[in-house]
Amino acid sequence: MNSDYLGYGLGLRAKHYAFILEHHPAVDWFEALTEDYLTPGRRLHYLKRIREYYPVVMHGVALSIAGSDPLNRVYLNQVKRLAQQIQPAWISDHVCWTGVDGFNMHDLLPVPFTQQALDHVVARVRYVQDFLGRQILLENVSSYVTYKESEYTEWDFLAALAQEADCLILLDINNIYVNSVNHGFDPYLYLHSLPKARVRQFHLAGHERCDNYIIDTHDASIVDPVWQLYQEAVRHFGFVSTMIERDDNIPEFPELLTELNYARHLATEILNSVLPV
Amino acid sequence: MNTLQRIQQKFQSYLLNNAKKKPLTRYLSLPHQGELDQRLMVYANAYRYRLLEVLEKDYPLLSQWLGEEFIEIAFAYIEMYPSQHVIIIEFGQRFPEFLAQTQPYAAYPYLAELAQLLRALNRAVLQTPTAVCMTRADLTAVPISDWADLRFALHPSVQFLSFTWNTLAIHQALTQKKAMPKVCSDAQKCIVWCKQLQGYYLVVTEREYFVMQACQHALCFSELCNRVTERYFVSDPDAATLWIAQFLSRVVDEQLFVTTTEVTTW
Repeated sequence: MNSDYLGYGLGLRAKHYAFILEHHPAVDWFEALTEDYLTPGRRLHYLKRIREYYPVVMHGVALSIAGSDPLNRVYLNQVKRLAQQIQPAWISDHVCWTGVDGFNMHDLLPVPFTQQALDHVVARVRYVQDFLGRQILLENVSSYVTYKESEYTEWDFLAALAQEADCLILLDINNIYVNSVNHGFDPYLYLHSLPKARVRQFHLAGHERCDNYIIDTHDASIVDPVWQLYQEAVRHFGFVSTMIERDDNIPEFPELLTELNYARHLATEILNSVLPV
Repeated sequence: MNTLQRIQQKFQSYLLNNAKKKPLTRYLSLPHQGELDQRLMVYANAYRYRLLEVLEKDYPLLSQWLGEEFIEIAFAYIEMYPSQHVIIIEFGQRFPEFLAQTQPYAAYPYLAELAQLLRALNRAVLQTPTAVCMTRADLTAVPISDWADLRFALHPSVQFLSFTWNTLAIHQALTQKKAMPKVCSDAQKCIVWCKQLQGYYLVVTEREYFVMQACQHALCFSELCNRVTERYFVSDPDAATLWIAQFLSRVVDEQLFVTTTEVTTW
């Protein structure tokens, strides 16, 4: 078990601030969306209050680590300043780009899995880690297209990135499943191809099924195939901090807690039977 | 230009042009099932609808008032001002300006005014620091001898707004879900700020507005009295002092002032 194993967490959403502060629910930790707290105001006020009771991790969507524009120093400074205030257990973002030539699409856009892209991202991750003075976690994103020029599979690219940049992996189980349907690969092969020691966090989420592809909407409950993949991930990787992401159609807190407790139940059964505690 | 940059520029151009350009078949593989166009539309739609959602959250009353028309306006804004913000919540900050300057919306200037008010309320809550507010007890604790040099620091969320239409009445009707008033010209000023983590506005007279702006420019109490007397109370300077003291007390109660190191007498 990693020394920074946090247990089972939920995404921190504004709708739940009051409930959390009033009831102190049995959640082990919260994941805060970094960009929601880079400006002072009500959200930061609540984050600081909740941080008094719970471990928090920072999860960003704007680093654009694979973008071809230079890294945004202003943004990095803001992230560093927030981390100094919040003291997160870790900081994460995504293996993606979000815009080019100064524009921002506010989306986690897919990276061509080429050697050129890998070298580019590795150099940038090293720079960011030096700047922040800590390792970061990078998450696999869901995608709907693939590039002709890709030279790596997605999982080999992620594994190589983690090893060469000496960063950690936030493994989104739902995104693996979504991409396996969208691009036709074996999600279990993906799981088993990643370096165990690099995987520090799991994400779980729901999605929307269309005719012949899946959209990663984060607006629904987790489906059975994702639960099954999660169970396999727990068997393979052991104790990894797990959290449920819900970004839209957000239910009342107790409903999310029930879903989180189901994840806890599934993982605990496996960890108790397979692994020495 | 390297390959990565070229691919990203082509991809982004496709999204910014609302998928009107030909699909990126040169760079993208055909999906193992379904159509490439269909897959790309997921990204194109996500871009526009994610930003629409930001505008709907920033300007909920405008969205509620205009209904489907708001969506059209929002898409026009998204096309005119593609996001250059790292933080998505900043995307809507030019929406009031867009409404004021772009036809046909500029022909309805109260839309821009309402957007300006909503933007200010949102900004007060979500984008300005919280602060320790001055209380009536702080005020009464100031020795008489220190009053002349006393300065009042505005809460960091304070914003000054002037309207030429009955925007505040429209806002009130929308907030309270009451019948909409007839749109008419009505010069009004207000101050927007954050109190106990909620956004508020205070309708003020010309004279009150002047005092608050003087506070913003760090005038001390004696200078404040002189300016107000010169402008509004030439024939009765004592009345000016009394009026200012009463107004400032009210403003303190509304938590519009904060305690700062500059106000050393606290």
